[in-house]
Amino acid sequence: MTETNLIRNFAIIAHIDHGKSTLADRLIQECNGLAERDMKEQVLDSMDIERERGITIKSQTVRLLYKHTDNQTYTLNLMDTPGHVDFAYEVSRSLSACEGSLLVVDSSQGVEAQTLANVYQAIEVNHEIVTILNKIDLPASEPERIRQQIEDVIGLPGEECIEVSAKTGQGIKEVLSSLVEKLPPPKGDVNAQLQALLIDSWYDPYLGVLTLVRVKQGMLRKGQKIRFMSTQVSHTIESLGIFTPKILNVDTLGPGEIGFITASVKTVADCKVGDTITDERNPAKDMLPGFKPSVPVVFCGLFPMDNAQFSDLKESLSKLSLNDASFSFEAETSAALGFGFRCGFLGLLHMEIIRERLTREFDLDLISTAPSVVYKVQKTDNTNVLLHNPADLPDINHINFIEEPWIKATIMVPDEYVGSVLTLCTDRRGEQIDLTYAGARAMIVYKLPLNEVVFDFYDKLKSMTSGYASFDYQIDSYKQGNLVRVSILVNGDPVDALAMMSHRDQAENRGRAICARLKDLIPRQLFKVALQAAIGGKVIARETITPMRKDVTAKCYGGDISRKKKLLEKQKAGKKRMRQFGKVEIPQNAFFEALKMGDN
Amino acid sequence: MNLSYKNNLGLYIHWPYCESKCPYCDFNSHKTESINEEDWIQAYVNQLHTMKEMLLKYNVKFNKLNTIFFGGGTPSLMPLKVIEKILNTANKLFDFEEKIEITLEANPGSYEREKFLDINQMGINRLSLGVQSLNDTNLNFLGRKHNYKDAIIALELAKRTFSNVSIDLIYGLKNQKIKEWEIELNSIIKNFQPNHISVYQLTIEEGTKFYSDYKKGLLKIIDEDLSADFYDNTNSLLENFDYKRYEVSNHAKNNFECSHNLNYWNSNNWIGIGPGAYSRLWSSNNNNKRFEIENYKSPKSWLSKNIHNAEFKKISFIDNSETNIDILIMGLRLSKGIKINKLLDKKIIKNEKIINLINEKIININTERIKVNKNYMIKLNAILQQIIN
Ligand SMILES: Nc1nc2c(ncn2[C@@H]2O[C@H](COP(=O)(O)OP(=O)(O)OP(=O)(O)O)[C@@H](O)[C@H]2O)c(=O)[nH]1
Ligand SMILES: C[S@@+](CC[C@H](N)C(=O)[O-])C[C@H]1O[C@@H](n2cnc3c(N)ncnc32)[C@H](O)[C@@H]1O
Ligand code: SF4
Ligand SMILES: [Mg+2]
Repeated sequence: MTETNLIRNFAIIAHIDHGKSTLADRLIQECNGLAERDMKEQVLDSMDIERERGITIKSQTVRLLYKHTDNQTYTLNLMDTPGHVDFAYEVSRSLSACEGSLLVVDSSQGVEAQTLANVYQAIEVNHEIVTILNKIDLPASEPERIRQQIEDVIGLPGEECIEVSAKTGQGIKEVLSSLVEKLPPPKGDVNAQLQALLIDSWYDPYLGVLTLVRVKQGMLRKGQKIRFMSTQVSHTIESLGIFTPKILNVDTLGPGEIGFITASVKTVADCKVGDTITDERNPAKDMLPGFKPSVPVVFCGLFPMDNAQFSDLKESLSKLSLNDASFSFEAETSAALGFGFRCGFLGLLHMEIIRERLTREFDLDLISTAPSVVYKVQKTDNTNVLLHNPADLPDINHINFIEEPWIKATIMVPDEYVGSVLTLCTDRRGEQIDLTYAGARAMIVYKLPLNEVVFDFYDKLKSMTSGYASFDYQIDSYKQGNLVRVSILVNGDPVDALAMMSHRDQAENRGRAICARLKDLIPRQLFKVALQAAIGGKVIARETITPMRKDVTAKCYGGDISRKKKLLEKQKAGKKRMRQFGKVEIPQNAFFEALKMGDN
Repeated sequence: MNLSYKNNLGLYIHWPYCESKCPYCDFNSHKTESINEEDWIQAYVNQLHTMKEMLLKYNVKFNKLNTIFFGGGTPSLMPLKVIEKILNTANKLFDFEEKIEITLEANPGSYEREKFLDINQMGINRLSLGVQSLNDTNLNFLGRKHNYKDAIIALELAKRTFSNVSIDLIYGLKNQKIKEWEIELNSIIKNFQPNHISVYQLTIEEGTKFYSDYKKGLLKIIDEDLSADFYDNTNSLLENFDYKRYEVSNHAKNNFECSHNLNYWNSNNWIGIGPGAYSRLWSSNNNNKRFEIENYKSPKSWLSKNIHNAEFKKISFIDNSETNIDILIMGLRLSKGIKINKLLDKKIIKNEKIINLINEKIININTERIKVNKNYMIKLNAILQQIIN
């Protein structure tokens, strides 16, 4: 156990890609956390997907030992957080485990949307903040301008920002010493009743369920009988440990310390993130504040390509949810796609990542439907239903009204792009809330229906601003809207998995766009295929896929049989990626791709 | 079970050399090199003898040898003595059916032409001439060694020498106009009246020069619609001249269908000798299972493996379920389709998809035969996909 005044806990927060994980590398190195041979770039991004995409998805905790100029050795608990808006929830949990934040601002980019979002969260939980200007080595770095920006936009003192290069290591020593000097040590009485905040839990194939905790007061010991206060289940601690970043077992964790426990916990579900852990025999009276639960905002259907894989999919989803409590899933049936699951995610990137992990780590071949948001439907009998799937929309005659979720979006962009961004937001039914300038940058605040943003808003925004715009949002409120369901009919039969909700004014355009996209996505077949979009019984758009004209092997003699069969087999493999719908074969990706709005 | 169809027997002889390698060709053919005639004769003869033993060993039921086909490569480059020796040996080992069809593939070059008379006298009674095109630009593009004039001379000579002449043509070259192609085809028919015409759309085959050009974007191919128009127009033109399309790419005057190739499409018995040639035979030993004998492919290794004793690369029995699919894949290429009782398991044509295809008038099944309807032959692969998956 370490004396609390020798502990500093901090979260590294920043906009995506401003260098949090790289900075963590340097801090680990400076404190000799890892042997040189174990060091690699963004060493904390350990998942394959994180390494491939170069982004952090899960927060990581590392304990460092730092010898300060006062010759004392301090324990620094560093939490590297993700920058992407979908994972804001990870950031908020990390913040509650610390007393301070290390705010990283890319000195060649400046303050971006997530810089603001994250720093406001840190201020809200009363963090002391050490601000650094990173990437000072870049020729495009403009420390003076960014200092000013930090003062103007965030309201933090600009002159105190430390100039750092997480690449070259410049300024790292100064960062460490400033963390010790500026951040408050944790408080907490070791003799008080145990209160430990459950920050995260996940499944490790070797160790079982790991639970990351921050001890607020009292002490955790090996062999101790503990109780999870909200779920009221009790367990005995089997082991305690910390990450250095390698796992190091310890015997105790005292106030201010961050580490993990393993107990005979079988399911991660028992370990509710935000729960308070206390001593079974000498329990605390009160629970710690905990976190607001994360709510999935984007839903899509996931179906196994091969119906026989349904139970595999179910098992994989359960396993994956052990490591990621923020997505939800429940069984659903589709006439077109068979048995599958309606899954909820924190955002599009989150959805993409879960899908990718399912295919990759569990070797599943999946069909995914297009994402949709959650609507609130009030029926004529005054009951309310939450609509996760457009296919489930009740009969229009039984509906009083439909509400859709709106978000408050903050967009930061160089001023020359303001015009086009405003047009984009207006096109997507947005309502302007605020438009302010700081230097040559504008901050645009809009309320937008989430439905309009969910699919391709961010891609659009990025491409129309040459990548310069940054975007952050929070769920705002539900508002009534003139919403209809657009159904897609293939040869006269509605395909439930292609149904979508749309604002009435845009329904026709959307319907036309979907039909046109489907026409491109579905290959020509033996038979003519008629595609229609309809609202209720009224057809609003149609397209025809003319039958294929030629598909025959010119030459096939005695010696060609095996080759010819291989060819048919190859085509057959291709066909496996198709879903038979009546006489029509629809490619796997069409269910997702068809609803991308593109340029309509 | 009706075994009569298994009694036909064909013999295929592969000659692996050509004057040069055409850029579109993925046959087992190689630029000609100096060879030892006697060695080759020995190897072919060894294979014939061993094949005869195999037929006995595996109890292959057949009456007589119905057809012989010298294919390649360019078998018109074969030394006459090799052809002669093969024919004599075959004759000794197998009874020739009275009206045996003996085909040889020939290229229209001058060297090959000179031999027409001799080979005819040796017993070759059908000549398949690789004309490919009567347009010098196209011949050149196809990398052929002969030109328009060679083709004409060869055709005339062939017609005078053989009572059964077939020609091979290739269409669907990029920039080729349908109208030009029709004129070309028209003039060949009017001037030479071949008994049989094989017309192939140019196919980009893996491993060829055209394939790598195509992958690099240096070679374009015609699109699906144009290709369909080519096919349809070719078929109706030939039909107007009384050529019946009896297989996807093969057209014949009455009674001039190629019996040897029909043997393949009807899944009968055939022996294949020479580099890379396959035999497929029905063994009565093994519950009427079909088996395949594969030859070493490269001319050099084939020769060295067979010069003393015949040695095949592989003999393998084929699962009945696979054979069933093979029967269908091959048989539906024929306009007449195939006899249903040839199928080993009729379940393959009794499912929902088949019913769909019948309802849509895409295929036709009566008590005896299953066939693809005329206008749908052009989509045969897609139809087979539906049936066999
Ligand atoms: N030149 C230079 N590049 C840097 C520096 N710090 C980070 N980078 C680069 O910036 C990119 C993003 O760095 P990361 O450390 O992954 O950023 P991050 O903030 O952790 O990103 P997320 O976790 O996805 O939010 C990488 O290509 C780094 O190599 C720096 O000081 N100088
Ligand atoms: C065994 S091959 C060659 C016979 C002979 N050596 C010749 O080239 O004339 C038989 C026929 O297949 C056709 N053929 C070969 N490769 C082809 C391809 N890639 N596309 C279309 N037809 C092809 C040609 O018409 C050729 O005449
Ligand atoms: S002559 Fe015939 S077999 Fe020889 S390479 Fe050309 S197409 Fe192929
Ligand atoms: Mg990171």
